[in-house]
Amino acid sequence: MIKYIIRRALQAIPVLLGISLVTYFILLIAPGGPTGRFAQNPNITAAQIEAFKRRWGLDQPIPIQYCRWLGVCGDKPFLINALPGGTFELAGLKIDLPGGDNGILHGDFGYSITDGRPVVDVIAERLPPTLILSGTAWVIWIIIAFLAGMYAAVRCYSLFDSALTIFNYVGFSLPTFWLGIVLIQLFSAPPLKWFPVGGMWTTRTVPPFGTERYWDFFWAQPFTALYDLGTHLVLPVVTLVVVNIAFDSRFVRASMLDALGQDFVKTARAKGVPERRVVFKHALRNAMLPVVTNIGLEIPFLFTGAVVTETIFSWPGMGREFINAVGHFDYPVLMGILLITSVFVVFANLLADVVYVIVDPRVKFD
Amino acid sequence: MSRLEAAQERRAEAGVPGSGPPQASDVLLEVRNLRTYFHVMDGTVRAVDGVDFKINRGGTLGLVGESGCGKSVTAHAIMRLIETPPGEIAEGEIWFDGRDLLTLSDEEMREIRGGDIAMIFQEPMTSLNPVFTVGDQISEAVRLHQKVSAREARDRAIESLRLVGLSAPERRVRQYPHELSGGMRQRVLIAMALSCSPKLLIADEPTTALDVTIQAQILELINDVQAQTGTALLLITHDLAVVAETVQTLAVMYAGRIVETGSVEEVLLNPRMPYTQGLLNSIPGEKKRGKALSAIEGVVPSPFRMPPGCKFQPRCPHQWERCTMEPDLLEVGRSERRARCWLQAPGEIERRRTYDLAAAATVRDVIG
Repeated sequence: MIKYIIRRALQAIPVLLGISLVTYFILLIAPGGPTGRFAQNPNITAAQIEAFKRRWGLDQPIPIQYCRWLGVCGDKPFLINALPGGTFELAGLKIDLPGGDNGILHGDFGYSITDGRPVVDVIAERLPPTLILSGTAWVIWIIIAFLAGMYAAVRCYSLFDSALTIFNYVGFSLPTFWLGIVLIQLFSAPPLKWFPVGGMWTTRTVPPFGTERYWDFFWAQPFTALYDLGTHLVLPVVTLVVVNIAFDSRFVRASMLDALGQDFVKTARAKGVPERRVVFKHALRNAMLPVVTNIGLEIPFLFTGAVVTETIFSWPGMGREFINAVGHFDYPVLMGILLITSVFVVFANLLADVVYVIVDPRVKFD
Repeated sequence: MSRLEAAQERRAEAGVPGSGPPQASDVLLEVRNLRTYFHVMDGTVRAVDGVDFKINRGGTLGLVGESGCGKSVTAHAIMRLIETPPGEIAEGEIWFDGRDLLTLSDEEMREIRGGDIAMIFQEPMTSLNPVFTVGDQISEAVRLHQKVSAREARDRAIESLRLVGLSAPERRVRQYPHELSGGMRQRVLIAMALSCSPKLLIADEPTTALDVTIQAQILELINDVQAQTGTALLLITHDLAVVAETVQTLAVMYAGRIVETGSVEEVLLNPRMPYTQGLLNSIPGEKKRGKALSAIEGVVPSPFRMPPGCKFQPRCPHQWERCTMEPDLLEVGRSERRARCWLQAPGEIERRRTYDLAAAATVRDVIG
């Protein structure tokens, strides 16, 4: 199993390189650029724009830019730059490595063109809010989808089953941005005003999330802080749950229905297994097999966030950062987020495969 | 109140004779006037429409007929495994060991399933749960019906695997179904069925999905364990060769009814119903080499458009006006030998003679 995982991880390297190559070229070929925002500004001269482009390397041909982003090109000669660089201490000895220190190969994601901060810092700041929002929504919709899907399968063609089908149909069809705005209109606007319109914390009373001051406040008044976070979570979570429940609950229902129709379920009943155990042991265990894979493939979403929902509710997460970066043609940030997303997708696939082998005795690592 | 309960109440009020447990104590299972319907979009399918039969303790009965004649539904009704809806046991009594199974609670019935009545199915490839080991699945059956420890149940599983002739049963219990062949899986299913020493074993087409060499082995195994353990056997099949080697008595079903019963020799050597004769005639035989295989003309009538009278009449070469009335299961000579055919009615001597000649020719061709 360890051998299998290592092999798959090594196979992921060319996959990730391919993804980065394709996304990089698509991004840079797209019309417009980071200097677009200066075009309408009378105070910025053409020479200043040229200097800006030179400073960020935007005057170079696209393959060179990609090469530099990757870390193969840089201060050192071609290819030598790709080797590990910098100074290391090993058992008191200082070792100077000959390679470069720029680019993804050296763990350097570059700097945001918009505000000059390291991309790693931007992502580190945006990841926790996204994990909180997407994680909460994911856990809730998985639980509901499981219970609803299973019940609908056991009582298939019942009133509940039809109601769930209609709910799923509507939920799946609703555009996220529309549902989000309607929820804000209903519950955040007067007269109800139950929940805040957007954001992650009440700016007047709570310090910005993630700062040192926030954590001081959090430990001083944990219940106030959690309550505040909770009220901000409700509407975006409801939006995500309603929209995403459809797929998973249909999936669970279909797998469960398939499992319940199998011959071994009849065998179980014929040997006197009580109906509850037929459903929860014999059928569920088999219905889980395809569901586990599907759930595994949803994991990247936890990190990449919901672009539209985060934007509607001004949630300071990865999704909203991504939209911002697209608007500003902030190539390093976009590439950083896309690359991390790709890594999660590749490893979620691997995780799903590994779990599949654990739960299904018929599947073996080869 | 369900239709079944209403029918039971009506019968009790009227004091219909023949209601109540069978008088003879050696009768293990007696099915009376069983009717099982399926309510589907296009109407009601009367899959089993008035079936009666008996099995003695340790006795064997074969239920034969074409696909769709209601034999499997009969077995499922005895186990009360009919899915409701769309299915429904509309009427009848199933007396098993002094109790009417149709009046038991779900929990009482659950205890009987796998305990006193065990069943094996047609598809050994898919009838075992792929994610549990063979041992787990047999032990589960044991522990559902007997208060034993997990260890004892495991020992019982090994024991029953040995009984069905699987090599290295200690190793087999740890294997998953996909590691076994079709024949081995059917042996496992038989072991599972026998693990609680049932009084009745229902085998629903146990050899249909197996290849011919394995079929013979499995039949022999069923014969052996039946003789060894003294369990009664209800064998359902469409294969007359299978019943000929396995059971003592035979019931032939057509369109939801039993059309002929008797000992296996008498029914096969002296068929009294043109349908049985047709079945025999369609078996390929030595004397028919080089000739086209004969089949019964026509098709089984649609369940939504059953012909009036005898259900076989549209396909029957001996059919005449009287057949538009439904015949009863008429006694033929001795008791326990019956056929649902007007040819067997008193006064139909001429027609019966013509039929008998045709039937005798068929039997000669098959046996010859």
